[in-house]
Amino acid sequence: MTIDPKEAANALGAVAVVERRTREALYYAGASSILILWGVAWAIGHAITFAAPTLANAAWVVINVVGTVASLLIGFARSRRRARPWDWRLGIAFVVMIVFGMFTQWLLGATQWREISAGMWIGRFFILSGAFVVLVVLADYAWGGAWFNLWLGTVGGGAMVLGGVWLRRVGAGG
Amino acid sequence: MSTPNELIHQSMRLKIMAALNVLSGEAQLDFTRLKALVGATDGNLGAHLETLEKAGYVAIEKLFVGKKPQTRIKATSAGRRAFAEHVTYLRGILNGGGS
Repeated sequence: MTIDPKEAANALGAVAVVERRTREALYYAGASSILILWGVAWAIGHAITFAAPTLANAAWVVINVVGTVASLLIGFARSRRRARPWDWRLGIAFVVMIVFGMFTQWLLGATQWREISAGMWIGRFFILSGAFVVLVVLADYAWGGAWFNLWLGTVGGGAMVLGGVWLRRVGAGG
Repeated sequence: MSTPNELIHQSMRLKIMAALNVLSGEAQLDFTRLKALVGATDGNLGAHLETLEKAGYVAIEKLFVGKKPQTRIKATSAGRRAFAEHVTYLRGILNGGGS
């Protein structure tokens, strides 16, 4: 069997493409549960903010803490199921992002946080869904009025849950 | 220099092994997902998987999830080793090692 450099390059190129697609599918499958979790958390948080504004601050603290712990547990369980060592850098990065978000919210004040758009997103799907959530927030900011939190909870949270379900379909479970 | 692996070098089988090799340990891919990842048809993928299974490079598990049949595939350690050796061989050609 003789393989020339051009054929070798083509074969290695095909391998690289399939490896990238597979990693993407695995990542999407892993992210789906976390996206659904935060969609539900987002919906609950905004529903409480709408229905009982005086409880909102305490509710968001609880939701953020529970959501963060649950996300870390999901990531940890998934890495164990795949027999892949848990990379604590991911967990630390996630906590840093949450702390950064809370700090920004505190720095900008309770009413100005509406102007904050999407955070850090990875991959094409996340750019698209992040852009969609930004549009939802901006539309709500402009026209939501008294329904601001209810709109964010149902449309924003619902979009995240649907996004998570879609990711589960396109992702590759193990 | 290592020798080429003719069985794995076939383009579809190379893609199948590339996809399965990304998974770690005992992790499996289901047939439908693998088909989408490598861009194969049902019959084509089935035939190549059979060849790889006979060579001991993949393990195929057929089970029922509820009433739905499901086929799950994983790379064996021999398959991973053969794939890695073939990729090393291909890289060697590009680095001037000749074929």
